[in-house]
Amino acid sequence: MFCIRIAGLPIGMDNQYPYVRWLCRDYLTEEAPLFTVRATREELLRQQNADPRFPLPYCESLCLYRALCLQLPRYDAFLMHSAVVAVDGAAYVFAAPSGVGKSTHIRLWLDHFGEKAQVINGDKPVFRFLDGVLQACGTPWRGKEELGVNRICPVAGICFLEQAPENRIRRLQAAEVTERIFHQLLLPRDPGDFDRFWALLDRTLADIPFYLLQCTPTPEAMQLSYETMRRKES
Amino acid sequence: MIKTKPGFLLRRLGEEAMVVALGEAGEQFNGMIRLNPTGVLYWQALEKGTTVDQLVADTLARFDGVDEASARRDVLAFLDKMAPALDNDGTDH
Repeated sequence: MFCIRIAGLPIGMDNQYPYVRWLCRDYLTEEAPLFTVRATREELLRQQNADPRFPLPYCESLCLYRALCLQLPRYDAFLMHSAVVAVDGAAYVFAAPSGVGKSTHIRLWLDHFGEKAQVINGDKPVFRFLDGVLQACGTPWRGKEELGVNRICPVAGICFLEQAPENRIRRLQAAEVTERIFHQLLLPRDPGDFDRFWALLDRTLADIPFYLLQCTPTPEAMQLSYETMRRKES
Repeated sequence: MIKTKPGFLLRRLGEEAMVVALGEAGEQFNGMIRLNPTGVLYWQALEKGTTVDQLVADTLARFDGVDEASARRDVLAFLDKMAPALDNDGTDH
């Protein structure tokens, strides 16, 4: 059993395997947890059933993260599958189904900005409204490329990616955002948590500019997304 | 009688209305289905439990100039689209 601090929230982890503690090594805290998550043997096996290549300690880390994220709406926070890169104190969020090229796009930012850019989380960041501002938060769960740091940064914009023969970007209307964002979210099962989560989603859509970037895997695509999102162009 | 299944909720996001599936329900339902204003009215009637004939009658009462055949076609198309979220006990009352 140990405690980690994610998105400013101390959360207890009641683990069976040492792997998850190692995974969380940059997030350990001595604070008293707000709540504690654990996974039953049955949950671990169900997780392993979904992908038998994964060893149980890894499955446990996934189960604990899911359990933790399902409770986040109680603290104005939620999980969104995406890659987040920070430049000059602003977080740029990229979302797409697996395989579309989130990591490739993020890498273009790192190539261009060097040390000025930092990946907050390459795969499963947490978002939290703090003092009325949506913040992207680092977490120990950051995808197979293990890109991410323990840092919290205000969100400048959220951009969906699509592969295309040439680069184009535009602002999305709320109606265009809903069906795209849905697939990137973990929906709480508990009706009370679901309603809290829904209110956060509604607030995110109202507060944050959303974009669609149709792009090639080239530096020009990165320039286009950076320039557009930085200036909040429509 | 046709009724919405537990775990399917009508929600609004901005100006859009949609039915979303909670938890287990979500596993046989792809996240959400958008509803237009007529769909919202149908869904609200289905939450209480209704029949095809009643939905058709509601439609005719609400919209001028709609004939019964097209109202019935719309209702059946809606019920078909929402089938995974509905319980139909096969009775008409």
